Amino acid sequence: MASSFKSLASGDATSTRTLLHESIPVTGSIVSGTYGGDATALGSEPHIKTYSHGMFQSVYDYPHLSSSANHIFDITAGIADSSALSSSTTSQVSKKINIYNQMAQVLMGYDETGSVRLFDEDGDIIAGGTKLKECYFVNFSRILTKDEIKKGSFEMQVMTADGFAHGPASGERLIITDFSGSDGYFVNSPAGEYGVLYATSSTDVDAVLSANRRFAVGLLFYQAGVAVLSGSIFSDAADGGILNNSKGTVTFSPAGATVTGFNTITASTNDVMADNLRNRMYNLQFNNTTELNSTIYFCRVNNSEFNYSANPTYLSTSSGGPSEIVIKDGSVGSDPHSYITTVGLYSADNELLAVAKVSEPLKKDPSNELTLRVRLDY
Amino acid sequence: MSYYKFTENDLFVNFLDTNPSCKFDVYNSQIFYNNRGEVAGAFTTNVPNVPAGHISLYELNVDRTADDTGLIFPFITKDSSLTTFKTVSTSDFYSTDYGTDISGATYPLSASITREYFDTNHFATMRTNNEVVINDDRTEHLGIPMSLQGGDTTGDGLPDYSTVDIVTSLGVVARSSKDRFDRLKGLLSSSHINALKSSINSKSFMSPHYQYSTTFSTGYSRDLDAVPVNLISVPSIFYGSEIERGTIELKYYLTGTLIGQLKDENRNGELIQVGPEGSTGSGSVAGIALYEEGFVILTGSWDLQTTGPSADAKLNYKNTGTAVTSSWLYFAVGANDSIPTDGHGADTRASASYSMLFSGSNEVPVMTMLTHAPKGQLNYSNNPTYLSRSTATNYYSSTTSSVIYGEPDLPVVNIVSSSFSNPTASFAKETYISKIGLYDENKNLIGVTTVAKPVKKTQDREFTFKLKLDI
Repeated sequence: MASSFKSLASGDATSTRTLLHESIPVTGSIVSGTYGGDATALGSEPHIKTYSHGMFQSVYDYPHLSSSANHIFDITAGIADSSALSSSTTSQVSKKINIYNQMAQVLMGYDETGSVRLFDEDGDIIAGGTKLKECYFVNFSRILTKDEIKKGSFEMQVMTADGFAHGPASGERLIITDFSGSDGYFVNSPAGEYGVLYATSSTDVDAVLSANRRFAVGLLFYQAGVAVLSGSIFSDAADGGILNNSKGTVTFSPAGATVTGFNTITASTNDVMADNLRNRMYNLQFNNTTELNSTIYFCRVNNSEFNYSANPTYLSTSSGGPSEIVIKDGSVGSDPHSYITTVGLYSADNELLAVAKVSEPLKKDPSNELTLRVRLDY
Repeated sequence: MSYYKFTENDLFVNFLDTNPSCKFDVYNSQIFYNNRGEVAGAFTTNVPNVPAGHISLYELNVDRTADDTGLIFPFITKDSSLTTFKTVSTSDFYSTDYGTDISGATYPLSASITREYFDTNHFATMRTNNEVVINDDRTEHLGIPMSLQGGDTTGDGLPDYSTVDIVTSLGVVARSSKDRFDRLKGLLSSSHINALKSSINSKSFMSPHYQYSTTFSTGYSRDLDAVPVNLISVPSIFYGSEIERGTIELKYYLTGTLIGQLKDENRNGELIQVGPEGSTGSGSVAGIALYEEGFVILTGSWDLQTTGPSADAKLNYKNTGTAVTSSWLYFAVGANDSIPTDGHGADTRASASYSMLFSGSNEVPVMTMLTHAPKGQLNYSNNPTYLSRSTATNYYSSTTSSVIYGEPDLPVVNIVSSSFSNPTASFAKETYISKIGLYDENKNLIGVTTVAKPVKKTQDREFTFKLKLDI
């Protein structure tokens, strides 16, 4: 308990912000195939949680019945009411439209007429342009994204082979990144900042992308932790997608279906759509950001201050005479000194709010002055 | 948006005291926490990627390896705030370029109980060993003593040794006094039990057993620097603020039979042998507990098994080949104390097992806020769908020479439920409260509370929402 207090002057406190990052690698093997083995039906893997409402699917990094499992993301799909697919969709059509509208109203907001804005392909809402009306939504868990996804760090590799296999099978795939996110992000969303996702190249020898160029294929909302992926990543140019016509539209499950690519959504539930994306996810990685806000208090100890202690052992009365400072060793003429072990931060009403400890006691006597830098993180 | 100020009776802070129960079982150098065994994962041998008996901070990388899946790890980018990890040395940090990512830690970070054994006269032995180290250093450096710089001490109060008085040792290594000092720091040892001396003595008002060095009224003397001591450390992540008083219970088993049980019956920190009934040492104090610091200090050296088929059985507790009888000094042998698992010999340590139970005590300060929605208020919404735009008039009204902007006259949508589709119910102001925002004195939004489902608010209804915030 302090017996003397020293007020902090206006220049003795300053606030800082530190950004702490984490690297989050999620290989496709965790998302698909690792648990349960190939014999397990899709969606029945123990680390995949499906729901009776069938609106989305949850992916865990370990069988979700274990308390050790962490929820890593949800997958769902939606279509805009104005999409060409809405009239031909026969499975969960209202749910898919509602999902799109819900995601869009939270992430894109409303226009001047009170209508929900559609996802814009290039983020330039005023200029209009192409809208993303058929989308996958990947909602990352807060435990992974923390305060936000670090801009420019997102990368997802998606296989474009027709085959439908567990695990990270090699083969032709797209690399989807927010490579312009660090300096080209948008701020016109009510849910924070977002960047455009680009399918930059294929990694295999076959040119998967039409003309082997870069395509805008979605949006990444950094603070919300949501990736919006256009269904065009699974369709060829002839079907309105980005894949090379020679490559052709990806055939989703079941093989040989009459509808292919993202159009599978017309006859499939969202669980099936989630399985389709999960089993084609080769790799996913990003860095997250945690903001550490700090206030630094410079506690200045002048030469004539804090050379005395209120510690009960500081004085000795064993001789029966007047109290003596123990550590002066009976030398009356020497200066008093103390050892600083703790700095207490008090409110204006002298209520102890916080305590800072030094790693080892600091000797304080009239011949020295100290400035103790106390950092309070919150 | 309407704002309301909290009144004096709308805000109060109280504490929620939580008491997590912890149980550690130790058997043949394996630790088990709360009856959880090893669970194999697809990539790791033990989910959540820490040894059994350990707890994982953050619980990330539960079933990952660097090779198979990659590991989540933290990093920081060096900038002008000069913030870095504690594991990064000052020299490494300053030699790193600005804008470079610094990684100083890996997940998972884990914690578990640790046992340390201090043998008879351990403090004197340690001091002798340290003197030998210092003398060897002097001999190795041609008998030249270390010298100080101009000032005697550094700003931290440590000896300020010279960095220029280079001496080439017998080992042909050139070192300054500062180099020798830094090297010696790594070679010297210290006593963890001696480091607790002040903490132990400060509790001596509760029991004379808390005297670090004392002579009891019976004439028996005890000095924790000299007697054998079994120190068990419990990290605070297991208990929170402190171990709840009176909850520590230690059980010592030999070939499955309970041969000793300690409890703090008087709730004063004395660990008294309470079982089994009639056992040797029953009623004696075998040690003390430091509840706030998370330590159990055991000194009971009597033979715990003097009767029955295993009477006076000696086990290889010290892993030296010399078997000794069971006593509290060997409680929890193998708990992160470098003593390995044992085989099947007659004196195997695998014959003994140990159990430690306690409850933690963790106070969570909770702020409770009462927010009121009075009658006749909060009956309007800024939600775009609250107004009907279909009947809106033009934004502009034209006159012959100018255009005048006017707010559209928008009626409130009537959402009052009716039993009939037509006619609709009479209009009434009706909103649904879905969120409560908390603002600071400058009207910055600092918190949001969302109700489980929207609450219908009409003009003649009033509500009080009780908000709780852990602080």
